[in-house]
Amino acid sequence: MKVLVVDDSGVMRKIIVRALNACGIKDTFEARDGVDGWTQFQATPFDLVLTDWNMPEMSGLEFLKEIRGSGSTVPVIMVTTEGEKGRVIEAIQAGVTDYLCKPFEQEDLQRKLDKYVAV
Amino acid sequence: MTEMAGQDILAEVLQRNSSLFQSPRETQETKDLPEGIQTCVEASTVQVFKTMCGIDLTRNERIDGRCDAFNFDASGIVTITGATQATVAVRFPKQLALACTNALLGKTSDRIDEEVVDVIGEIANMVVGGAKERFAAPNLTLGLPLVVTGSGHRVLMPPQVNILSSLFSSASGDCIVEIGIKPSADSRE
Repeated sequence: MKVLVVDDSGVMRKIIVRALNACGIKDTFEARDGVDGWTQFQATPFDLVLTDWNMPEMSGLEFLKEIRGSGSTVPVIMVTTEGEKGRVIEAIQAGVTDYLCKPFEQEDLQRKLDKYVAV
Repeated sequence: MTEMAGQDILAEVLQRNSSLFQSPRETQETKDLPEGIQTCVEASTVQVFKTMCGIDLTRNERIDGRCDAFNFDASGIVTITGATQATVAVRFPKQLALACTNALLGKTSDRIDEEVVDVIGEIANMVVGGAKERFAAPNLTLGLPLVVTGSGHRVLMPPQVNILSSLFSSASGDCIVEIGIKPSADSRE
């Protein structure tokens, strides 16, 4: 199972990758913004994408729209500080699969991943 | 694979928000005051340190203005733009910055390196993101976090900005959150 983690924060990428490793997923890829993520997404068939929202160059929402615009139905989990109702609706309309607000407990992240990770 | 329907996603996030924000959410009257912003930032600060790092912060005093009584080693700075314009600086002593890094990444370090800087930026980002949610004013945008390091460094804001400082203590050291709020055009008249 290949998982793409997109976040401009190296810390957040490490936290997510560590949680993925704990689920038995070793095939993880990291991108530092939406542009990097979109480039990698086009080159590799991913089974799961986790993306931040606020990033330089291309936001997570724009990245999500690119993914859905390409016809892909890959599960995309938005991991973000954006928890306002309007923003969540925006992400849902863009085709987000699931949503995790920062800050989160380690168990919250693990619970989300368990739903999508099939080892 | 399980896919959440849109309404389930929204319900889950709103439920989280209501459980988190019931106490600090301000009334419409106080929300418009700088103290309302300060309350939201303080509540978010305590939550981020507790949730992400397992560190209990206790808010001590508030200072109307800058606090130069302490020596800090790193500051995470995030701007808010929109109807309210503000800059928030989360200021760390080295010991607290290293404790947060250890808690988040499981990494032990004795100096403020690139990973510690990244942790400080992410904590500042989450503090201000959480405060923005609590403040619940529409169309506020966060800038990307900036981190300043150096023992005894200062974070200066323009003279027309109102500065509010909140002091926190923890077992890993004290920290300060400074909020610089640009007065609205109405309040300057």
